[in-house]
Order: sequence, then structure tokens, then C-alpha cells
Amino acid sequence: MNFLEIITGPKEGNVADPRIAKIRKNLNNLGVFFLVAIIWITLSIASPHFGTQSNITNVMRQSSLWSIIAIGQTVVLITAGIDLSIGSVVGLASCIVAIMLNKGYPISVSIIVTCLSGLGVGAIHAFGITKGKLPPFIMTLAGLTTWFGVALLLTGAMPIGNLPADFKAFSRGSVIGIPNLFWCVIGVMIPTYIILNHTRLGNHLYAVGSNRSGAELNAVPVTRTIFFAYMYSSLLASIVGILVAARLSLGIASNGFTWELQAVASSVIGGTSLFGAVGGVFGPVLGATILSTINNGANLLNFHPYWQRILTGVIIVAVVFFDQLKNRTK
Amino acid sequence: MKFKFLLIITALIMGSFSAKAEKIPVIVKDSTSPFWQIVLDGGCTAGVELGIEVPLLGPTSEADIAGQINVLEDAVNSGADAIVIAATSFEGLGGPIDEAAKTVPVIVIDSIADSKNHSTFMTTNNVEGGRMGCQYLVDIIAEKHGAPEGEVAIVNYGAGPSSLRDRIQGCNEIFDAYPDIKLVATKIGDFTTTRQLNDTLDLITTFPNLRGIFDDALFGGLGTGQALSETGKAGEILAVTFDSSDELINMINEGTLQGLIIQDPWGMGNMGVKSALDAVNGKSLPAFTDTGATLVTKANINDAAIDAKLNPSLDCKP
Repeated sequence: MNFLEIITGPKEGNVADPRIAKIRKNLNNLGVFFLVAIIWITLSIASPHFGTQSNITNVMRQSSLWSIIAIGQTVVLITAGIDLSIGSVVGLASCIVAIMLNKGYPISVSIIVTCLSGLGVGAIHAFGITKGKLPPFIMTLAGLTTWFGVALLLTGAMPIGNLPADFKAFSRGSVIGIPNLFWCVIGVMIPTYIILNHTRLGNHLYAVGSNRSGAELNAVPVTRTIFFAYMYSSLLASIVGILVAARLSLGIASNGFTWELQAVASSVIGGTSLFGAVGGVFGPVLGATILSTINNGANLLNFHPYWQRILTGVIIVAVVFFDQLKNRTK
Repeated sequence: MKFKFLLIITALIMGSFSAKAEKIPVIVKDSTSPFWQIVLDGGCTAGVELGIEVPLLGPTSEADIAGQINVLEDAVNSGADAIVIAATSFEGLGGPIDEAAKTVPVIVIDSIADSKNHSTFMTTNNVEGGRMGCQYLVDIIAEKHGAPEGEVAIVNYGAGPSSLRDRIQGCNEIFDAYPDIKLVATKIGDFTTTRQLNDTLDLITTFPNLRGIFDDALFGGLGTGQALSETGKAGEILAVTFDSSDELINMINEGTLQGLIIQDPWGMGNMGVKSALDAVNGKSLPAFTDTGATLVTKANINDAAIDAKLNPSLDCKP
């Protein structure tokens, strides 16, 4: 094993040693992890409020929703696709679950129906991409506006409130000091990790993303794999829609507005490649944590809100720049 | 040949119809928000009353300034006789409104643009609304703590709209008038409830001695209210917000929020269309009409006059 290769990546023309590729992936996560750690330590020193338990709980809650959609986005990005519909699917799901709860359906039924409609949405995207041969960017961009429109139609543009107390309580509660919302992140990370790393489906996802026609030649069920990716992403977006409805005590079509971009940003900060075949479970969660921490930290330090936005942009560029620098062959 | 003939006949019939009934579109800032639905219902009702056509238009986000300019231009090009519009941006809509006003009378409602040739501006005096809200906030802080003193914060829904700017200006005037009221932060959101929720949570964390919050818009108020009830700070930190919805009314009744400054959106849409028709008929209009703002608290929320404003019937069918 060539240790230099761990740092520089495979030499041009050489095939990456799979063991080294794995170490490099973990190192990359480690890099983002250290960045999170540095930001957290700096903020704890700069603001007496940052390290308090209630604030850490806040940051975890704030990052949870973005983490889950970022995991979904990552699965799609691994197949060299993109899901731009996520924000609207979050909004739509928040409306569906709120309407059903409002009509008196039990919480379990409302959640199941909402998740099923999410799967349906993802299946429609995948159908357009595989059978209709539409570029993922276009198909899910169309989804972005379509599902927002459906949510507006369903609600008449009104916020849907009066949700049951049990439903709302979930998003505020915590078990052994960890907010329920973050347990949901863990609940999504574990199956995603297993799928990506220990199943044939996972191999297929990476294969489709690295070389689609090659995958087809190697008898990878490309269509089925792409269906899985988009349905999984929409399902996770629907789960976040349910969680955000619980968190705000409201279903509104505008819930999740522009979150597809937060999902892309979190995923990319976490080392996912926009060109497919590179990405894991920890990266997007760390990426979402960085974005939430920046917002929270800037608020605690009473930064001007405009600078907060600029700072976010600069950090996204900086993280991805250094990540790529590390990956460049010398 | 026959087909062509039919087309011409259809065109003639349609032409004669549109020549009779005036067409006065109402263009709101965000066709997806309950506040603007009420404005549109007022406009729609005026259309039914006056027997004129009132297309109900607007972009789907207050942040979509370019989208609203397109809607405005399309409305002028599609043969409107006058236009009623609420500007998403003071600067952005100034030029386009002046351009439209060359062809048809333009009635601006709710939020003014940097335009000179509009026929009239009908709105809540938002500076006054901001003063009203923050005066009440200072009053209840004084009542609770014995004196008008302590830390307060403003949570703004988003940068840009002149109505929000005016509310904050009015609010700041009041805060400035009390030397012991200290404004510790003004948060600027991105027109989403989640952002307002997170900003308010962070305010509560950063300023443990915070006594009051003024929020300047409906969806913002929902986020602020949620943050207060979530952290158990409701009633401890006093909060006043703008506009109303069922959920905000619940929050007033539960004591999560102490006051709502409500406007008369239905009247704005309704009077907007009526004034537009007056302008088409050559009547002169005053430069400014105040459509009024009202303070709603737990004490007066069940009054008949307030209830009618809080629960306008949204059943207009054009």
C-alpha cells in the first residue's frame, strides 16, 4: 500500500486501490468532522451561549431536517442525478399530513399516506428520467414547481393548523437528551448506510453513477436503481415534511422553500460529487450541521444577517475548494 | 373556410364582450399567502358588485420581484383598463409601474413602489401600525416589569418590501422614545416560517434577559410564536406581531402572543378595484388613503367588529 496515494489519490491512469479509496473517503469525512469541531470550539469560546445544552439541542434540531433531505439528495447524486424537487415535496408532505390530521385521521394513517404519496412523487420523477429519457435536472425542476402547485391547490394557500398535541409534541421531545428529530436522522442514516455499503443495490447506485452504459452492459438493473434513488429521496423529503409540520405546528405550501439547495450544499460540503459515484451517509449530515451551525453561530454572535448569508456562501466555496485540492493528482 | 369564418365570429363576439365590461386585474405580492387571498377576495367581490372582470394575479413568492414585473407587463398587454397592484419591491416596481401608468391608471395598494405616476396609494399606514404594535409592547413590558425598560428585539420577515420597512421604522421610533428600552437585535429573515422560528430561538438563547419581540409579518409571527411556546418562554417574553390567521388567533387566546396588529386587507382589495374604476371613468383620486390598522389583544378578540375583520368570508366566485 502506497501511503502517498492516501493523500494524493491514484496516479493518473491508475485504477484506485479500493482499500485506499475507502481510507480516502473516511479521511474526507474526518476533514469535515474536524471542521465542524473547529467551528464548534471557536463558537463555544466566542459565545457563552453556544455550548449550553438548550442551544446544542437547537442546533441539532435545526440541522436534523436538512440532514435527512441531504441524505436523500446524496443517494440521487451518487447516481449522477440531482433532485431539485425536494423543497416542494417537503412543503407538499407538510400540507398532506396537516390536512389529514385536521380531518381527524389517526396520526399513523396520516403519516403512512403522506409517505406513500412521497414514494409516488419519486416514482413519477424516476419514470420521466428513465422511460421519458428526461435529464434529472429538468424532470425534478418540473417537480419543484408542480408539487408546490399541488400543495397550494390542496390548501387554498392557507396554513393548516390545529394539529393534535401528540403530533406536535414529538418534534419537541427528546430521549436520553437527544432531540427526537435527531433520532430520526440516526434512523435514516443506519438503513442508508447499510444500503450503500453492504447491499447489491448500493453497488448498483455507485455503478450507475460512475458509468451508466457500462453498468447496463454489466447487467446492472439501471432503471430499477434509478427508481430507488428518486423514490428514496422523495420519501425522505416527505418524512421531513411531516417533521416540519410537527415542528411548526403547521402545514404550509412554502415549508421547505429552497431547501433543495440546502440539500445540495450540505451534500457537497460533505464530499459528495455532483458527477456521481462519490458520496456517503456521514458527509451530508456533517454538511447540514456546518450550515446550521453557521446560521446559529452568526445569530448568537449577533452578526448582521446579510453578512451571515455571505459567510455561508464563502464557507461552501472554501470547503469544496479544499476538498478538491486534496483530490487533485499531483 | 368555414373554420376561419367561425373564428372571426368568435373573435367579434369576444371583442364586443370585452369592450363592454372593464377589466381591472388585482396583482398581489404572493398569491399563496392567506393575507393576499383576503385582498383578492375583496377585489373579486368588487368585481361582482360592479359587474366588471377582475383577474386575480400575482407571483407565488414575495421574493419574486421579477415574476411580479412580468405579471404586471402581461396584464397591461392583455388589455386591462386599470391595474390594482401591491409592489413586492419599492425600487424594483417603480419603473415598471410608471411604464404601465403611461397606458392605464395604476392603483397601488399595501406597499408603495418608487413610482410617480400611479393614481392613488391605498394602504395601512404601516409606520403607524409599527408604532401601535411597539407602543403596546412597551406598555405591557412596563405593566409586567413596573417600568418601560429592558431588552427587546425585532424579527423581520425579509428585506425589501416597503410595508415591512415602514413597520420597523414605526417600531424603532417608539423604542427610541424610551431611553431604558434597549433594542438588542434586528433579525432579517428570508420569507419563511422556519427561518423565523430558528432566528427567534437563537434570540432567546443569546439574550436571556429579553423582554419583548416585535415581528412584522404573518408567517414570521407564526415562527416566533412557535419558538416561544416551544421554549416555554410564552408570557415571559412578550410578543406582538402583524396580521392574523387561525393559528395566530389561537396563540393570542393561549397567551403565547400578546398582540396582533391587523390591517384591512379585504377593504384594500375591494376599495382598490372601486377606485380603479373611478380612475377609468376620469374621477380624480386623493394621493393617499389610509385603510386603517387595529390592535387585537386577548381582551378584544371576541368583539364583533374585530371578529368580522379576523374572519372575513372568502367565498367570492367571479
